[in-house]
Amino acid sequence: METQVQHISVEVRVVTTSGTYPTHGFEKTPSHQPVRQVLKEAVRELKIRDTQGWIALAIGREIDPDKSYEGNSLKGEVVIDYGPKEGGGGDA
Amino acid sequence: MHSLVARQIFSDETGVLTSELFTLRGWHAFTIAFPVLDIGFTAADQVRIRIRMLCGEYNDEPASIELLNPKGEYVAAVEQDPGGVFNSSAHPVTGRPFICMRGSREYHVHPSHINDRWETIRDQFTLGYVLTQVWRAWKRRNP
Repeated sequence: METQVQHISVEVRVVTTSGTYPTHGFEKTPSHQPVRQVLKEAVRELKIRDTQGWIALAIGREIDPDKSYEGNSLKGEVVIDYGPKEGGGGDA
Repeated sequence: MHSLVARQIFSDETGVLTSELFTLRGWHAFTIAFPVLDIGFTAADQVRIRIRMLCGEYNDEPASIELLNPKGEYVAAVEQDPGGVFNSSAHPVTGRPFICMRGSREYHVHPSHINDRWETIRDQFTLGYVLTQVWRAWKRRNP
């Protein structure tokens, strides 16, 4: 007996201080895909030079880019705030 | 740096700060006009602090960052965050509380960090990058 696999999608948008990806609307993405995939696309399209130490937030909490949308309990329209974590104080 | 170049860099780096980003982060734009980037951080829908970045020599020099209350007056003190980005002691040059973090002019001219040279790191920084780091530090005390 053939098992039918249901492919669920999410609608994703990445917001940064270098712009937004996609420029308009949302990117339709399989919900089992790692979040990092769309972050890579955003970095390339927005010509961001370095994302070392960056963090991704969605619905007010930090998410794990190496997990899928499902793994991060995200569904529907997902807006990701992607940027550097807080700066390190200088102990002056 | 010629002021036209500084103006162009300012325009390039602030022109990509979208209203969507401001809404998402609870930022309020007081001024975005060269050489001033003046942004309020909100909590519970009210501006709690203003971060005024003076960018006249940017990016030959890092932006000078001033800490203001919602009315636009210099704050006399700031609540220090766990990471020490907001420093409430008197800066040796300005005499006021300051942002003690790479990317802030007050950090790079401070005697404790004079050897951490801006020109060796400036390619990694944008105004939005610095503002984000300051905002995240502030959010730790103002969720």
